[in-house]
Amino acid sequence: MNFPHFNRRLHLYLSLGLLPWVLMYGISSYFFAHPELGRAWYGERMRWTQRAFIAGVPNPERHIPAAGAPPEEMREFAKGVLASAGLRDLADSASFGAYRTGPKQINVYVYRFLGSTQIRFNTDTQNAVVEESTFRWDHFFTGMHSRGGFEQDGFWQYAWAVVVDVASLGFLLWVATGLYMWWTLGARTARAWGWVALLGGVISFVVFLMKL
Amino acid sequence: MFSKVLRRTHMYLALFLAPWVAMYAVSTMVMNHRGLFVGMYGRGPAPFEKIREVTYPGEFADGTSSEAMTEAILRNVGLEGAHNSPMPRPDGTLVFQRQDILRPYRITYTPPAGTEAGKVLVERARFQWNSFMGTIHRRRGYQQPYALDDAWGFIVDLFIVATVVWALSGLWMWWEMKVTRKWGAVSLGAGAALFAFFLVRL
Repeated sequence: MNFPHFNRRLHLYLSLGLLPWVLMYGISSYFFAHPELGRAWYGERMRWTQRAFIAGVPNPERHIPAAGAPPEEMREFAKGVLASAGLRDLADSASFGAYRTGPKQINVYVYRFLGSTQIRFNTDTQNAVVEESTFRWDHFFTGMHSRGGFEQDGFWQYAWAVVVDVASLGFLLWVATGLYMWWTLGARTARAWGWVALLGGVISFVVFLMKL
Repeated sequence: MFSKVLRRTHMYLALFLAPWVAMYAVSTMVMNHRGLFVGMYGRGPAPFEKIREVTYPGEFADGTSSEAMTEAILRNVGLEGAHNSPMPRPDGTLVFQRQDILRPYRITYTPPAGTEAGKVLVERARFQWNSFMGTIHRRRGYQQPYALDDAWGFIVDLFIVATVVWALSGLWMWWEMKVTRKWGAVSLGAGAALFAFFLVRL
């Protein structure tokens, strides 16, 4: 196998392996570029369904973070609330965070690809109300698109972040291997029009960078 | 003939959009490793630096909309372009952002008081790689009355369509090459299975 052959196969097999991510990033970008579509279809706000469960989880030992507490402290608090609400498994498999939404309320927001859970925790009574979101296609795609980073705990969370890096690297390799394939094409017209397309893209990009 | 048109469409679209493909890939990696940049630049948005302060001639009549005010102020300082238009503060001060991919501006308008004329303070964010990459990645168009903004929106839409075209035309080209079908199917199947696993697991 010579280099041009290896280059073509790399371009092909990498694309096939990462095809679900390519499609996901492509389709989900539409919902970011045109958020009005999702809002027109599903309405402005998320819909939450309250679970039958309402956790009375008073715990005098519980440390409640003060307003402006650092994210790490809020995460520890969220873990404790999840455990009290019988949702400890979500702390390993889902992306979550805690946010103060009022002087007496902290919301723990848990995101999974196929649905989200919200726990509204009253800091005075230490009661928690668990709610689940209604599935929306726009949130499904945009949530998947945005998910990444190495801040969350758990092996599979890390694995997803690694796959995000692999997909990004894949995009860069498609550019490099694609440029090589174009350059080694015998057809003179393809070379000429290729230059037009490539320079047109580079010049447009630089103009946007300077003016936008 | 169909196959040739498909191959050429795949290639020319990719050549034109190559800078965007590279930009989206690099910016995704930067956002995926945001912790590294917090260590480099600290938390929070990039700090602003004073560029200039000028006198604003005249004043705004009561009831002037914030959109009309921001546009007039930007014209006054020669910075027309995409911006937000928040409501002025109770004391009449108006603080708003003028978008810029590389280094966004913060404009502060202070209304005239007594014998003092109104002032416009122009500040610009310090350049930070993570801010720049995040801004360009998230930028979309069609929200501002500026042709360049709409042109960027059009390119983003073109990129979205191109992504689907690359995927479908790529599948077609793979299927045409009998010699690669077996290993291609293995690659496609493994990717789809991994994706489905993450979908259910996470």
